[in-house]
Amino acid sequence: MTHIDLTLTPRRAAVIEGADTELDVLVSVSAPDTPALSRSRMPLNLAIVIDRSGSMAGTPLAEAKRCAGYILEHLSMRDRVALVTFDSAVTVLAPSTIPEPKEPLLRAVRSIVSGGQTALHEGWLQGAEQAAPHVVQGSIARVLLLTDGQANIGESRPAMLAADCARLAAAGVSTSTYGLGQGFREELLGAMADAGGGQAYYGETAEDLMDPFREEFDLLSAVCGRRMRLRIEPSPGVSVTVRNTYRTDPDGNAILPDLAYGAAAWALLRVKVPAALQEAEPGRILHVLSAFVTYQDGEGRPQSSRTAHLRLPRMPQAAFAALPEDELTASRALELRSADLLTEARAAADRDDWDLVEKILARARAQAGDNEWVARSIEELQKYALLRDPRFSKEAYFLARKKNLRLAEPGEDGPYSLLEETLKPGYVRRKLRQGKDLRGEPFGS
Amino acid sequence: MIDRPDKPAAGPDLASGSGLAHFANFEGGVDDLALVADSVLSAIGASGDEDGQGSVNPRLIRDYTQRGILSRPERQGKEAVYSYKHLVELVAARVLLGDGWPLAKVSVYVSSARLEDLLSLATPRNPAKSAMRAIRDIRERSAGHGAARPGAGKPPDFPGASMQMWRDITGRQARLAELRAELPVHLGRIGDALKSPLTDEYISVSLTYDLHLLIGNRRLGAMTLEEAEAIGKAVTASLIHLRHKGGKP
Repeated sequence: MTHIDLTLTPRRAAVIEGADTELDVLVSVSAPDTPALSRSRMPLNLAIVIDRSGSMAGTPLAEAKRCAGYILEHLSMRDRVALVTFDSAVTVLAPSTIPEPKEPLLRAVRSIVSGGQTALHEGWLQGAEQAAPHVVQGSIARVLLLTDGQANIGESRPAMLAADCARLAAAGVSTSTYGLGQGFREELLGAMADAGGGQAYYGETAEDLMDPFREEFDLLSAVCGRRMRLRIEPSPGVSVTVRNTYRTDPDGNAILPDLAYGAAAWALLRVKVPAALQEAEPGRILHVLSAFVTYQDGEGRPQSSRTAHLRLPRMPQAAFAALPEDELTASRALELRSADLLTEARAAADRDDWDLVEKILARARAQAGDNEWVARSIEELQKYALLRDPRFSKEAYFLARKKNLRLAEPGEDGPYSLLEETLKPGYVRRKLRQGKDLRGEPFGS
Repeated sequence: MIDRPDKPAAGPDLASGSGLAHFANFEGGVDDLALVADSVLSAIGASGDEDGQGSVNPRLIRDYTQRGILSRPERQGKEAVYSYKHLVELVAARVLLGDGWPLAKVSVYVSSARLEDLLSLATPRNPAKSAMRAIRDIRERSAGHGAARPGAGKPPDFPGASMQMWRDITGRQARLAELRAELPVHLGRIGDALKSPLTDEYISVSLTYDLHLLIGNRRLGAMTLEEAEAIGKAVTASLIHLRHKGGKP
């Protein structure tokens, strides 16, 4: 059984006496550092779905095949894998099978050649169709969809594609998406991954594709909690908003990302405590809210964390203002504010208003303060903006996503170091450019 | 509020079929009942998400109470307090609805059945079946939306073809897919621990999505053009023979 812990950390640990108080509260949902000795990773049931449309010809397809080969090489007898390609039509190169011996499968991958248009939905669906019959409790079934283009044959409405991904995810088959280059629709692939309970990645060039594939494999190998739902129960009169862009389930619980060993999922709450609540509840300490997570452990059994309670003392305005801020909570608030600004900048770039883009980025850079990751990732974006580079839009989109939805590593509030980031598991790594392989980044700051 | 221990709660061992017994001391409000029921349903692969019913929520619980599917809760002041019995009733009702029972019959059954009988319904569903059903639903929905593969998502383009005919075909395909989905279960029953046919001596070549050629690895490596042609003829002859016998071997 996996013990997942939940903590609540307010930015300032008090409410203002006799006045309305608004404060940020960081919810950290932490997995154990290391798995139990007896644990082996959850079996994987993957369907690798590769776009082989005409635009993938040459290096992109060669790299896509290399990535598929990487996944195949790392699977074991406990796993399953299927290979599907699509252009105008869909081909099941290898129906779902145990990935041993590997050579026939690798040969099938090598045989992929480029073709016509992009039947994205049918390609994805046939991938899911391969994984579906082998869904079992305690394993991870996932479609890995790689494309460089836009869906132009069959179902192409983003809302419907996302709804289909959500339906399959609820039935046990999740979806991760890999966008390559500049031709794909980031909102579509992002929505499919969000609804599909997987990850959304992109590579600026074919050479950058392997990095996200490795990251996903690292994550799948270390997952210890799935179907994570964060339940917040505010005291009467208290209002709570989750600042991250997590989706919610029908009961209003935030859907957190799958949790891996040695990582923490997190959410930043904006909490409003009205003065009237203080009158209703006498005493120095106010109960503000309770929170817990429900999840499925590695064996597919339902679990829940203990319930954490946020109780805060009242103090006069001056004393409240003098309280030290919790650094990590403040840092996460800054990340999310920066993500908001990136979204604004991206909208301005779409309108071709590059002067405004530069102004917004300058503001984001100024607000970054001591948070070196935020500051340096914005500087990278500023380079794209300066050149009116079309890569700006995708980089801004995926950076904003990362800041909202990422898993964190406990203790990452120390100084940012690119070298240290490269040594971390991919799923907690903070890259400067989301579409680039971190190992290609200059290490000098 | 659910009475939560300081340490994380151990989940029920649903694989043993007695998972609900873990919550034998359950007592809580309508929100707690919804949350726990959802967890249990999700763990046994019968969550509302999977069969399109939507997940359990407080309004639904109140509705079931009104309809007599759930026993009336105890009252503590203004608050309704639900117990283990309500949890079992709720889970059983959702399982039956997911299996296609009409609401009226569910109501009659749940309100008259013994607790032990209701408990026996809360055994793990076949998650593969749920996934295949989701795929069938998606295929049906997207059938009219110009799917990519000729013959996969849109009606065939020949005289006399109708949408109904096409639905019949895709429906049959879905039923066949479900049968395929049960293969691991049957293999497991006859002692195949991997619950999957071993394929490591063979290469499976997918000619189309529903036509596969299984061929020995060594044989393929040593195959000549003449032999490949002979195999083609042998396949043709076999198919004609099978068709002549009505598809029976």
